[in-house]
Amino acid sequence: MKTSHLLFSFLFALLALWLAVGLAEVPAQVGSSVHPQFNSMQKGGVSFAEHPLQQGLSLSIGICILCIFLSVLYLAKGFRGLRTAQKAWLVTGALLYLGIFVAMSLSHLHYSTGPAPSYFGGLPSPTAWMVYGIWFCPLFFSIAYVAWFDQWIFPPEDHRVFEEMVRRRQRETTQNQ
Amino acid sequence: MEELRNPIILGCVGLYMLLCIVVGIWALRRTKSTHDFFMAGRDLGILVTAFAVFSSTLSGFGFVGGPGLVYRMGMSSFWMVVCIIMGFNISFYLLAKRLRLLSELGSCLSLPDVVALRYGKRSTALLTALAILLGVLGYLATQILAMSVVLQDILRATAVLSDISLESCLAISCFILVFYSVTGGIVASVYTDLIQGGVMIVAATLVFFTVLFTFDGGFTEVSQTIAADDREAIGPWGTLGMIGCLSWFFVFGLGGSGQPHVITKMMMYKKVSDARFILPLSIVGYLFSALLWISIGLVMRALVLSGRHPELASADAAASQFLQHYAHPVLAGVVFAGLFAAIMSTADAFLNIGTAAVMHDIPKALGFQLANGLSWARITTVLLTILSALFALYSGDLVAILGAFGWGTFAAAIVPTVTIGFNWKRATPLAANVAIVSSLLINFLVKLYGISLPYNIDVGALSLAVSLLLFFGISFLSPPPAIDPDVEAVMDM
Repeated sequence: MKTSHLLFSFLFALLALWLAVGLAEVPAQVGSSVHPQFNSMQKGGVSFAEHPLQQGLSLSIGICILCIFLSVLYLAKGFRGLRTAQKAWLVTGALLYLGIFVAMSLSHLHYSTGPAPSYFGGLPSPTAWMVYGIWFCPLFFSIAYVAWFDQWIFPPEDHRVFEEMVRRRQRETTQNQ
Repeated sequence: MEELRNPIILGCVGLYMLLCIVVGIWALRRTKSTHDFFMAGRDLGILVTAFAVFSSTLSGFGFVGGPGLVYRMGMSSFWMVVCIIMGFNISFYLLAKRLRLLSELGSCLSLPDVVALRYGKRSTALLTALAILLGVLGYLATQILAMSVVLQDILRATAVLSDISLESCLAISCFILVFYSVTGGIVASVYTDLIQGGVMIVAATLVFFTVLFTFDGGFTEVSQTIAADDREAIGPWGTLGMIGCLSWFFVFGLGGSGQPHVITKMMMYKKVSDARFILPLSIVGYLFSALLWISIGLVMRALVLSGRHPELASADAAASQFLQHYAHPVLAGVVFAGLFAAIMSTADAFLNIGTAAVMHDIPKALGFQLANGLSWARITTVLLTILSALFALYSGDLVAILGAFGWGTFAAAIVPTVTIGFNWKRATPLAANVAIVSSLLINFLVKLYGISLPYNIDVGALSLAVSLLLFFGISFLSPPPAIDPDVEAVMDM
């Protein structure tokens, strides 16, 4: 399947999921409300964790968005010119990104109603997954961009071809004038 | 020291503005043509480009609106920040090399120029320029208004200028902005971005450490205080909920590569290979600057909940209240200078692309070009600032609608046309035109009629998904487009 078809499918799925969420019955007290004591703040509603349908749809929306991000990255360059170990690095990064998102969602399941949450790095564990995991996991791809730039993103051969192309166009422009 | 708080803040802001004027005078000598005015002679170094990219991304919203959102909703608005590394990756993987190569190949002066080169259609360039201009008017007006309101707050705290009007503050702010934008064009803009980015990093880092020591138990105590009142607020979705947060994640992650004032900087750096260093520097700069956004809001919520600070009159007062009561006067001065820096770095970038749209892109798409381009560029910069200032003062709710309309509209119009279209040869001009028009229609109508989507789904996210779907669908259904062979060769690289 081509990357463009894959992206189209994920986008279609995202809109379908949003529509399904919109059409599904809205659980009571799920939305936020004004804080009872402080008007300038909001208070959270009942968590989706109590509603398996909404929880499943939301989790699917999240995975769909991550798949769109990853497909867009893949559209740029694909795996052309990469060695097996380098491909494995990128695949690991992608799987880790998805895995962390699922781990965060699972860790949030009984967060609101369960016993006091454990803390990591100053934050409750589901939030720590988000801040230290989802935020920083894409560094996998940044490292690949920096480390393999000459081999993968812009090899010297492409550079040479491009410079020749620019020189030829300049010659043609001068001749036309 | 405390009695000197206002003079120190005023001094820091004054010093920063003076630096902007000095950079404007210095850049005047380096701006000899429209190519210099709009593209900085395609001669920018690594550090300058990296700082220009991240400081243009983080506008005044990150220093005022961001902490306010965290105070009000807890962790929800973190989703606008945690997507940013992925967002920069998408911008660099898909655009940094491609935009730089295409702009050199076609000697382009602006984003619509590159769009015309890629699609071979004036209509696509015209629609891109119109989308940019509409977004710029709203965004620029809100930035100018924000700058004036902050300056008025600072000046009113002094004995001499306690009754200064908003109009006077707007005139002062616009004078500084216009001065360096007119004299030095994009050269002044990116070199002031370098100063602005530096100020933002220093300010945000110092604030973060101040926040850490506000509670004896550090960040854990802040989190526990918030969780004791409402666990969801410090949970990963905050009070907004999972679906609303994910829509922000989508539109801020993918939509970052559709912000014309940011991606235009990717046409200006000296060597293509510099992109490998610009990406990590941009990420690091943004991460440090975002510390202010995420830390102040949480600590202010904890301070209010624990009764150590009275309730805020409005959530947007979170940053100023923290600086006024818990930060050292010098730090408060640096942060206020950082706030101006964040607003101005975005405003000058918008001013530059707006000027290009008015005096270069739209006339060119309509089939004529202005002589004396550099003079017209300077005149247009002044006129656009005056128009935006008047718009900010007298358009009422329309400025807020257009300001909010900015990010999502740019994302929905430019991501399909540029981010995807420059990497997918099957994309057609008709698909790009439909994507741009749909983005304008959806965003404007939803804002105008105040339609709210279920579960707080962001309208920008919806319009981005719809415009992308239309873009792919129409391209699949159309015959493959004819592409200039050189452009096609660049797209294969």
